[in-house]
Amino acid sequence: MSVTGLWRRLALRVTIGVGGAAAVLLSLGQHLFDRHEKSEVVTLPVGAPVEAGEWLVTLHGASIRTTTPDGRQLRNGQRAIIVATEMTNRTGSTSTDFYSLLRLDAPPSTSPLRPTLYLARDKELLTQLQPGLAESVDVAWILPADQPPPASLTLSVMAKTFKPRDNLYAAPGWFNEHVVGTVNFPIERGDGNGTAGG
Amino acid sequence: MRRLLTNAASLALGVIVLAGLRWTTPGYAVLTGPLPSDGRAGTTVAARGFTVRIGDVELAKSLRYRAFGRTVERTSDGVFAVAHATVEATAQSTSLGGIAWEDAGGIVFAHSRRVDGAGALLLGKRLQPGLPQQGLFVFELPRGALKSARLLVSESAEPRLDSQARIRLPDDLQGRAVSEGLDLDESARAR
Repeated sequence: MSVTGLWRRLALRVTIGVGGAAAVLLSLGQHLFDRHEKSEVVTLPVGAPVEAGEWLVTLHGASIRTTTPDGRQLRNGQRAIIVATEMTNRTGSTSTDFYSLLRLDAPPSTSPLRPTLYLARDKELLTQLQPGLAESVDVAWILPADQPPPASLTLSVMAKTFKPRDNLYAAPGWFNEHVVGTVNFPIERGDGNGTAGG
Repeated sequence: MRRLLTNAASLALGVIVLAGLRWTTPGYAVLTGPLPSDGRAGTTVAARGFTVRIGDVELAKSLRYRAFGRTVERTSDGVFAVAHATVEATAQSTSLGGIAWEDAGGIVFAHSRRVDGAGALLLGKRLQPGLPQQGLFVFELPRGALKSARLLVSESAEPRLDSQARIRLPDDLQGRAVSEGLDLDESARAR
């Protein structure tokens, strides 16, 4: 074998080796960066507006009641945690995408998937929010009857990211739900029955 | 050398042309979007399966109507815009699922669901050919959305490859007086 042939083989090996090492290092670095980003959970303020993708949301406080915000009595000793908020639709069109905005992390609820939202102005179920019009909205989760009334709650505020062209239809939309931050605040006793049965 | 340069130049030109084509091709959502049929308030605008004519637009801070045996009152931090409309199916029975208000900046306000149950609404009402129906479109808007607005009316809520009537509203809406309260039932009966 000639010297040039040996030299070529060596160069090839060195190139492959350097490339592989670079790929491994890059992937490791990216992984560490992602881990670092995920571990950072911001604590959000209570009573100040929070930008959460489609929504501008202010959390005013939480109470525990035996009636829902539209005035119906809960059955079988159940109670509802009601979080008073103000929500503004920041998008370019009327939206109903508000069920996943707040996630109850603690205490556990019997309505784990979605809370029920009530428009405070009408004392009725919230049907839609118009862009640019701030509304007071009560967000309600039902607690199981056998659970002692909690003294505080932990909420996560969720947000989606705007994509001007989505991957399937090239249409604008909101995707990739993520946590903006968490809030922990005390629960006020609402109508005196919060402690009953607890 | 000369040949190499020619090849490189033609390759670069090809890349530029293809990039241009790629960037200027409208997306799938645009290509399959609504087919507009434009018109002005006061005239009859024809879409594929229906015609719509917008009359007067009334503005109010609060609305009142009777539904389910009681009087419902609705207030707003913005303003309620109530448009009088005459709609009619043309070829076969249909209903209007998409009624929206688009402001000058392109922000779209859907027909308000807060007045559900009012008798005079046309949203979702069954329309028959040859039987024009008069009724109301109700929107809840910030004051700023009144300027050079238009109404978007279609059979489905989000029309795809189907016609959408786009009706330009009068430009003087922002200067008009806003009444304290408006009774939807009386307003619909009055015309």
